[in-house]
Amino acid sequence: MNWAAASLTETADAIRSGRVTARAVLEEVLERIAARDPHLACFVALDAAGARRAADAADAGRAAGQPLGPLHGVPMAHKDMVYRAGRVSGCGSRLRDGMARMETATVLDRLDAAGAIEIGQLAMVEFAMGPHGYNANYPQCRNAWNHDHIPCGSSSGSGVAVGARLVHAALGSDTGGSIRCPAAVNGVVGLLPTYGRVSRHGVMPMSFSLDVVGPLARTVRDAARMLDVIAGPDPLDATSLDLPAGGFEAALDAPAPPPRIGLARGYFDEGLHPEVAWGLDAAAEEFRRAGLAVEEVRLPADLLHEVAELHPLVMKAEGAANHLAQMRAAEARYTQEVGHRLHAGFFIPAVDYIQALKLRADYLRQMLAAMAGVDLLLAPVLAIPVPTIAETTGKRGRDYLDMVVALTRNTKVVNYLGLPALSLPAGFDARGLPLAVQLIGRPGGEAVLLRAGEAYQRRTDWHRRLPPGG
Amino acid sequence: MTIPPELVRLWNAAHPRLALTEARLAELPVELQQLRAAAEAARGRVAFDTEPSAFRRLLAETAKRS
Repeated sequence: MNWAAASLTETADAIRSGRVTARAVLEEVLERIAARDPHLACFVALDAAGARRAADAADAGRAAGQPLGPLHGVPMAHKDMVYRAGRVSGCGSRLRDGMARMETATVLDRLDAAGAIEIGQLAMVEFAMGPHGYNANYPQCRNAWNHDHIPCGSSSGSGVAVGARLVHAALGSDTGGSIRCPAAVNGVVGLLPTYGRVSRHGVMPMSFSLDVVGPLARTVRDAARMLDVIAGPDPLDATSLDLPAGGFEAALDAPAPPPRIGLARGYFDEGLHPEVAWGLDAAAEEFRRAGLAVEEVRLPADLLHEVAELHPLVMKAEGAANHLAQMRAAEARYTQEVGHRLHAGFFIPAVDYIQALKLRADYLRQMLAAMAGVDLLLAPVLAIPVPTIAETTGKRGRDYLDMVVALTRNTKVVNYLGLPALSLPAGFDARGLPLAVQLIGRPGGEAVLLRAGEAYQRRTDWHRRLPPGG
Repeated sequence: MTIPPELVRLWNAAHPRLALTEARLAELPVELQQLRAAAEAARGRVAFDTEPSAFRRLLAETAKRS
């Protein structure tokens, strides 16, 4: 068995049963990282010695009959903005060099308690401010399937590391698509939980009204297990929802009526590249073959266009509020691109920002009404095929803004509405790059999303395909 | 009405006080115009008797029923 290429749940269950040791899995993973990461640049830090100690301790704990968590001995790494006390989290910025954190993120505490082994920290866009996925402060992070193409961001390292089978799962954060887009272009599963479902305590804020932490993983079942571990109320995060924790993986096997899917018509299907449209239709057909009802649902396109325009207003105003003191003191230490992305937020009137927040409840109410006849929506993640690095670099002004919109138009509206969504591998385009669809649920509807995603993955093998060099 | 670079220059001097180059001062109005247009387009929908926390309340109520 190639444990580095196995799923998280397969690997965790094998370690638990004694079919393989945590140390043996880790050595396979480290060997793979040594071979592939020089080309992919998805790790910004790797603690092999610490990981070996943790793996040996995990094996010793099993041998001693200690209770084993659901992720016991599984190696993983996370976006470099998830804090651990005593460690520097660079957040993609040189401004954080040498600044060790005082706190540990709630999500890391929960993963630790479940037995996961954190082996390193993963590349990201500077301060999570960009959708293409590269960062001038670091070597170019590259798409797992084709090094000439973007990894997407801002959780670029998370998407690439999971896609290239360097780790079994990774945490990312999603403010406008930063979990789903890297998952989509690297051929893995990305789960955006409902806003407030997963604690953000100890995770770098980008835009506190929109930020969500979630997993990128190889299968839907892997994502469900990760969510079982990280979700749940947290008194340290004021936005945390008081919802029951756990039960997502168990729900995959429990008898339940098949979810009803609405094929999103209006906004999400505008300007689709033919190959993306083909992938969407093919995915809809697979859901039907899996026994799920799929019907077209007409969405309020005008409303969603307004939401798409209001999202950056909220994101930029909040980002600017976070960064003002630092920008005044040390703008030269920001990369030019991210410095520029932050500028506009400093000029947004408070009235416009507050009104954009006041509108959210009404927009959510209207969106839920549009979804009334179905359990979830099916839509593409990206409207375009995965661009090349060359196609997305060197842009300024309106061209830069257009590039950002092209990458985020189908994802950012979901963040503004606070809805959960699941990005699924859905085939490959003519150049061999991944295609993806997203399922969008109601608030708290993660179990329904995951059940539908699992049904899809039982019929397809896109998630099992390995990238070149795999 | 468009946002002139001079307005950005004056506002920057009065409040954020960032080190903006002339080229950046000329570029920013494009983005600011988009943001302002978005706010204006939605202006008529903003209800007086609501507040941002209504969103989280609706989200939580719906989530508990899911």
